[in-house]
Amino acid sequence: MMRKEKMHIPMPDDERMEMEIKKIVAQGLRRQPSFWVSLQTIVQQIGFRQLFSDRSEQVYLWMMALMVGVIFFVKPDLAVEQVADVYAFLFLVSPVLFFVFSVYTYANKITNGTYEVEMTCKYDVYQMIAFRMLAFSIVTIVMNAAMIAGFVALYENVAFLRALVISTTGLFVFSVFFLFVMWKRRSTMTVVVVIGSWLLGNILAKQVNASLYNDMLVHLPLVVYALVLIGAAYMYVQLLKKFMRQHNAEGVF
Amino acid sequence: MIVLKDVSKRYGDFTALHDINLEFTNGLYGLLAPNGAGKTTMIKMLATLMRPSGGEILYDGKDIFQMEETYRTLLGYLPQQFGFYKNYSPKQYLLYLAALKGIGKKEALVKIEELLEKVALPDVMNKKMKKFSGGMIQRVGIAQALLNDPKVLILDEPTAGLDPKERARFRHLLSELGRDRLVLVSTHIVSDIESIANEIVMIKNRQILYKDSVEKICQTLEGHVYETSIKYEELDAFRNRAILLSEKQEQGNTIVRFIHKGKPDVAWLPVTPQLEDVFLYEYRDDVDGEV
Repeated sequence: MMRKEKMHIPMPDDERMEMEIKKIVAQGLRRQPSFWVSLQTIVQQIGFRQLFSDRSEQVYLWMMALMVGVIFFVKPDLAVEQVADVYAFLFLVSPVLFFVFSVYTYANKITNGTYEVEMTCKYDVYQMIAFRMLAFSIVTIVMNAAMIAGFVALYENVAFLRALVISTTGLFVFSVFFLFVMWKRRSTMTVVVVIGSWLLGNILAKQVNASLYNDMLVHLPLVVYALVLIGAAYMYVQLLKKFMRQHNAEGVF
Repeated sequence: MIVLKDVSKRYGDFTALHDINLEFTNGLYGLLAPNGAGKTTMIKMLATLMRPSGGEILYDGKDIFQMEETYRTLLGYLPQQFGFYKNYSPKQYLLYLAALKGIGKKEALVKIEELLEKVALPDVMNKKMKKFSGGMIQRVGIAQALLNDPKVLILDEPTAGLDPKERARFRHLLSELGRDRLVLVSTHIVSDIESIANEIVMIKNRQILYKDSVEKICQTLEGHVYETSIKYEELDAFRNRAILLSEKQEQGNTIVRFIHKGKPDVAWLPVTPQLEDVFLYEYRDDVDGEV
């Protein structure tokens, strides 16, 4: 009588299997570098010199910066008679610098038709725009701080910290709004609508209930502003991350 | 190797490409079809500028869209309309693009000089591009596509705006490049690729009509292409008998080249089919206006 040999398969235990699966997945999947690592690589490989793709961009940006500077310093007493007005003005106008820094790139790439070529480069248009936006928001904060220092010198009642927090909050709230809308729908008209609604929205809010609007700016505890600022800055970075990973969108914006 | 698996592209109700299956290895491929046949759509998908509506595109087995910048590092691309910053010189623009391609400045400067030499623009490398002719701009475009020494080179209508001498130089450059990489050239000008392409891809009715060597494609018309001399007055009647490919005047008569699939006339001279004949025959409805 034939004796059946019992076949023995050396099955690995669960722990070993889990380990092997993890190893295979780790080797097979390309790990996405984090947002900050990507930015660091861009800074290292591209550098700040290439932030501007065209000399006309640089000229345009300096002109805009100069114009905003003139609005702030040459005739400050036209619009700002009260402290609340100074804060309102800062909240409203702070993002403008950031905006002009960021948006000109879009228009420039569309008019020159360089979008397609740049989109097929290692660092595509979106990565570069995210990089520029972050760099320009830092530049804007520094410039705002300098302007506020000027305001503080002109108006005794203006508190530097409150003014800085208000202007930076304005900047980030606007940026989040701007990035979110651009993320959903990219077109020149969208840009116009975003800017228009920011300016109109603020002006209307002040017109409809000036005391509430002013109270919010002057009396709202700084900590509330700080919280809004942290929230907006966090959302801003999250949206920038998404923006940076956004290749392969259909067509040109 | 690039593989297109069941690739389709739809724009709303309109289907531009349907169930495309292709394989590209190293070599020079000519993508030949009349304007509007879907060449640019296919090129844009291969350049990751557009996602397919269905199917997938793989590079060495990996989805090119998932590869992201790893694929773009291997890619050189010249779009149909090559845009540039008017106030930049070729050197400045190429330096900027080299930075976007992740090439260091030192390395880029050497490469840029070498490439501008190759496309015969070394004398104007510091001149503003707004003063350049269409052909010169196109040559800058070709140079930028080669900056990162790409493994996959995709050129969409690269000879547009080039004069005959520049075209000849460009063909020479392409055949040199096709030796150790994948080069895909889209064109509707047969002579651009006829003598240099390893394989020709032809698209018709949103699908692949041929993907073969020029020789094999030409064989499809073997024994059906003729030339004969007729009187000018007979031309109209002749059009009803055969598919006319070309006609030229010679000593008062008209020499016609045509396709006839029935029994030939004894006066007709059988000739070897050329790629141009296949192109004109296959796209006779599309290209009537262009011929």
